[in-house]
Amino acid sequence: MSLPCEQLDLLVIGAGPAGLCAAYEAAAVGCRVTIVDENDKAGGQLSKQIHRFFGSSHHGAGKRGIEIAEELFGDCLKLGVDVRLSSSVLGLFSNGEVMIDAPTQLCLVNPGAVIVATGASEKSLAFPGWTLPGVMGAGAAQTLINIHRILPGSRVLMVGSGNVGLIVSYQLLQAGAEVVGVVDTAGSISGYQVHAGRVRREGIPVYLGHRLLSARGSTGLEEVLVEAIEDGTVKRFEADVLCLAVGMSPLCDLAAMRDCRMVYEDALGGLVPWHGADMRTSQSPVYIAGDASGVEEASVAMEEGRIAGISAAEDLGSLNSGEAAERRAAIAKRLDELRAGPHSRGKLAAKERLYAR
Amino acid sequence: MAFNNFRILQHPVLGEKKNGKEVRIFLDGLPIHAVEGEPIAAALYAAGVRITRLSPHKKEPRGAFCMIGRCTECCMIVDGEPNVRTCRTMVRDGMRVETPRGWME
Amino acid sequence: MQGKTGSESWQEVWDKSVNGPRALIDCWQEIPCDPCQEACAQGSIVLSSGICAPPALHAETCNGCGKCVAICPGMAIFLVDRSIGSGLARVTVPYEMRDEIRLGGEAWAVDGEGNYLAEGRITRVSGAGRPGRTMLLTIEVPEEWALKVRGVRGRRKLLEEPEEVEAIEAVEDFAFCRCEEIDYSRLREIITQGEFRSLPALRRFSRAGLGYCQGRFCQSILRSQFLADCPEEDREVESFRVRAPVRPVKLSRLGGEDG
Repeated sequence: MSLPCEQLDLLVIGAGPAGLCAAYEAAAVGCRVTIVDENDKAGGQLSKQIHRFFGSSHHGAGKRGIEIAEELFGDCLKLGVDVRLSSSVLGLFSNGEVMIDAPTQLCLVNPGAVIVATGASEKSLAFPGWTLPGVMGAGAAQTLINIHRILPGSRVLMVGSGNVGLIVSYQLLQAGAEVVGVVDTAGSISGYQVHAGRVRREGIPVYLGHRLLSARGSTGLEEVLVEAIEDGTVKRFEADVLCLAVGMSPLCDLAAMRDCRMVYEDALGGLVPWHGADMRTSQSPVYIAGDASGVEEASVAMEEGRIAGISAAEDLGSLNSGEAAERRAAIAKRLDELRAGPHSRGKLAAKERLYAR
Repeated sequence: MAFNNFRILQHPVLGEKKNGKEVRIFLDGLPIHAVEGEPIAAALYAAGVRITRLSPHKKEPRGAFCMIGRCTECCMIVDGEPNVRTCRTMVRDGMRVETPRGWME
Repeated sequence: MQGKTGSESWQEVWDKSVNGPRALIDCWQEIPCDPCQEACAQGSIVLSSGICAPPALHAETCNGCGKCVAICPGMAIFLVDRSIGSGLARVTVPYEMRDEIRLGGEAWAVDGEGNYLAEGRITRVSGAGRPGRTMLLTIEVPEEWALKVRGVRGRRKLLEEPEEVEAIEAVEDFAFCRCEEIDYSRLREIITQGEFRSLPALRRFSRAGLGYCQGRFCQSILRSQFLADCPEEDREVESFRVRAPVRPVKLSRLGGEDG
């Protein structure tokens, strides 16, 4: 088998917040940029986020995720970024070539630099009954309701009181489902109080200090048993959907495959490619950005994407090193602000450990 | 089978659902209404179908879990081809979808 | 100009709201977020240092325009207006739910836990029928609830409490690896009796993670179980080796055929 190999300047893998921002920054200084994404729409996780986002004006704060996705995508198109959707990257090889499963054919490209901005995937829990139809990731339910506009069921129990669990609970209500509760083993709400407030004022109880025992049903989920950790009492919830919102892990197998040095950081969601504050990995010219470099907020992903775009542009000769350093410093300052709150403390510490390694 | 039971026609943020072109797919021979541009797994949910396959050994029912093509729980037989991830494969008019029933096929 | 944060500002809001609507900000965690400050044309909302500082309100200059209410991503800003007198207050809340709430109709005012506070008349509705906009609903309630109202609902039925049941004794077994159907009990037996120091070795021996998903889905839970049963192992336990293709693809396609 021999495939023709296309020469590219900068290839960005993933058209989510990190990838789009990376592409924009690099294209803005004259790089020829190509983005590939396996979905048929750009925006990554933003395309299913219908709530307004935190952050500042640099991150589209106050706008909904879907609006931010459109803006970032539009900005890239204006700069002539070559966007290839429905195209999955199958491999990143040590000779620098990248194999892409594009809609019409399989193809090989050889880019001068690669930014891996592949995002994250949902973690799961294994427990009795977790294989029943109706048990699913919270993100899966969110994809169904907000993108396909289809309810996965009518009565939902949510596991996990982090921001994802709280936001998806709210969005399930908006979609017309009944949410019978949010369950968490922790003794306090894991997400932001304001998100919890939105859910609780709709009358959804949050059961803290409770753990999942089992999911039951014959051909699909019918009920869920949950135990109060302190006194061992068991509650039975009737539900046809059980959503698991128990964290995300970085999707960085492409970087691992390219022999980037990998580091395990619990606070960042698991294994991440080592990288510096300039988003360079241990393998040149491979860069990492967004959730693939450690799971954080979309606003952080945007800023990291911008930094990766600038570093790649510098290495491709489109930006001199003084100018690149100056731009990175301005963004790093905003990143520091985004990570200044107590919720980011663990992640910030993990990132700093990583940079120093 | 009710067409709209699980479809979200009105939404407080997303507004009214734009009508896509209606197509018909066949699940184990039975017709199901679907809308062009949606993946098979979503169309099945809309029709109230949650089982995508029976597990190979124990023949336990399984359903779509991740909706992003990683868990492979939604794999079905589509137009005769086995192991098709239905969460990432769009419906086409006349498509024949079959539920895998373990290794016994 | 120095505003006050959180509940400190509420007393001031209560006092000033006799002159008209004032913003009640229920946001006291350090969240990286500043649209309320950006939206306020009066300059009445100030974040003292950086975007993580909780917003401080200057109730004297707030004109109750409601722009901050509509844009707040946490839906944590409300308006309180006691200018109508006769023991009543008007509270404005952001609203993005499905209940049919009409101008002039009656609805429930609820507190932060969703508890019923009072039934009240809806005196103002803005942003209705415009998808993407956050609706602002104003409800008239007895004055004593003015600082407590956090939501408005149609008379939706309240959830019934979950039933308490007998504790179940034995842990039921279940498939840990969904593809290959390796039972939880079997996997733990392998982990605790084996001498595995890496996930790849555990995978090869147990077959967990060797099914169709190729461990892409289950690696993280397999790792957690491995570390839970072998807590002495180093956290940096070796991971599955990543090989192409990282997404399923038909061999015929690799061979250059279509399909």
